[in-house]
Amino acid sequence: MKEPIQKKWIWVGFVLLIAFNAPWYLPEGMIEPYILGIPFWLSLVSCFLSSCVPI
Amino acid sequence: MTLQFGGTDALIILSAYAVLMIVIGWLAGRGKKLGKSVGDYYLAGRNLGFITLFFTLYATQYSGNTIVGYAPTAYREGFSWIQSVPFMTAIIGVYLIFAPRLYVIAKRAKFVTPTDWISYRFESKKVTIVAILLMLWGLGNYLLEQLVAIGHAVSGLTGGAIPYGYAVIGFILVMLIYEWLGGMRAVALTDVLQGIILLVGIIVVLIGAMTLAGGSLGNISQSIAATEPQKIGVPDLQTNINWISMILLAGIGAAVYPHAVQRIYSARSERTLKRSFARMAWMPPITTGLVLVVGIICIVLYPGMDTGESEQVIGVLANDIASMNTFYYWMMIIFFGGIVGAIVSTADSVLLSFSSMVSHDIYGKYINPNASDERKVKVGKFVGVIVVFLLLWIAWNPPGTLYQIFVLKFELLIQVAPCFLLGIYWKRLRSTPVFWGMVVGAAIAGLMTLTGNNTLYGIHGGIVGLAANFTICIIGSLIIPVSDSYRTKIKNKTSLENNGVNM
Repeated sequence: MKEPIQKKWIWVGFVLLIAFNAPWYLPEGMIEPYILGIPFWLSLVSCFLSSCVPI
Repeated sequence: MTLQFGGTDALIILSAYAVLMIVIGWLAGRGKKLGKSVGDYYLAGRNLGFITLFFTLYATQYSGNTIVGYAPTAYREGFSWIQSVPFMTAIIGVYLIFAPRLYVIAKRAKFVTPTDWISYRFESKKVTIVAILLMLWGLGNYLLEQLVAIGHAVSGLTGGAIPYGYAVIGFILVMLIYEWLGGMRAVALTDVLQGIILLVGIIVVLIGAMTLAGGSLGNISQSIAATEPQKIGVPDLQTNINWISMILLAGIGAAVYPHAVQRIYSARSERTLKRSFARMAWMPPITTGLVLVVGIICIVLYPGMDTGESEQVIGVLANDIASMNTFYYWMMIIFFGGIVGAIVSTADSVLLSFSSMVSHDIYGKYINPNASDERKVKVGKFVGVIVVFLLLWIAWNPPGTLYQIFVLKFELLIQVAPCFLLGIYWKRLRSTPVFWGMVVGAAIAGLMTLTGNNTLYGIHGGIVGLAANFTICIIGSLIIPVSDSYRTKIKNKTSLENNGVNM
């Protein structure tokens, strides 16, 4: 059996999810620009999230 | 929450729902002599297929609180509550770390409860007993929450036609009956129905909210930016730290919940388990993600609610959606029925797990080691009734002091995580550091909560305790000398050699 933990991308997904899902690296209070009607930071957070979904 | 719609119609829907659950329980247990085997009663014969396993994982992980609790949080905190999506996703990630291997070992060694793994791996009475206490405490408080929530939801939905107390007792009886009739199989099958209703309900309430708001998400964002910019901007550093802490707390805590671990044991095959997890990874965006959008829309629809008022925001929204037309009226009744179902589906899983741990782990291991499976199942059923009514008594007579101990849930439960996450792979991990790790971790988490300091710079007490716990486990195990025979023994115990396990 090939265990999921032996796949490197699982760990990459984990690091992205834990370290970069919260937008601590962006300036507090930042809203604009909007992307598809939602703030940019939210789009960025969603990208980190979707990168982990194939987990 | 008192709803202006519902009343008699809701009473009919809830009654039909209750009858249906009992029928499903009866069908699940018919002709199977479930009371003769703990594996059949508590783990559905270790034979849950993909659809059933997926929905029972889903309905157990997402309770009614996912809607009635998370939407008000999104209303108060704004877009930063998107964290409810990653912390639900993290649970699946943590499952993937330990579940596939645990599944193989559990099948080989015929585990029934999470404690079976702990006593098998560490062969230590003190580790086993501390782990049992932590898990039972976490489960008991979780069950208490669900019982209180059932009463509020049913009483609110029927406009008080079913008073709070009767609502709780009525649904507990329904739950006990179908659980007694069909065990885990009944719980899993009712979860399929409850999970589907919950999903449909969330989608309908989102469509209704969008219709009421009458605008696109872009207009809603800009409206919030103009009136309450703090709810749409990048949150402050403490919120960000709390966000990361929440991902760890929920991700690890929910994955080692005893009823979650028992679902791993219940899978028909390892492939079934992996497929169910793969599908589960898609559920946070379409469950907590959509609930977040509903909460955000409510910021525009109902501006200026204080904390207490915002707790009722889903009821207020449902009233407005129900008054749009007959279709939405009935959909909202079904939606709130779905919420009750979601609470019941979580409560039944927790109760079954609680009963199994008392009957199989405490009674079967320490009180009457020679007890037959039939006897253990009977003890479990009896204990289930006692526990439920004891918790109800606590709920209706809350203690004046130390009420915080009933809030401790994840914070204590998560302290068993090293037993699973480290114990399954690291052969050097020893029982003494594990014991002290759990004790110190639980003490830190408990003290922080009891003294009203739930977080430290935004980090949850449970995570602070877990960090200490992991440190003790790792340093302690490195210090204690380990013999080759011990390593070989643990290697054999945790190996993936399946000896006929269905992969």
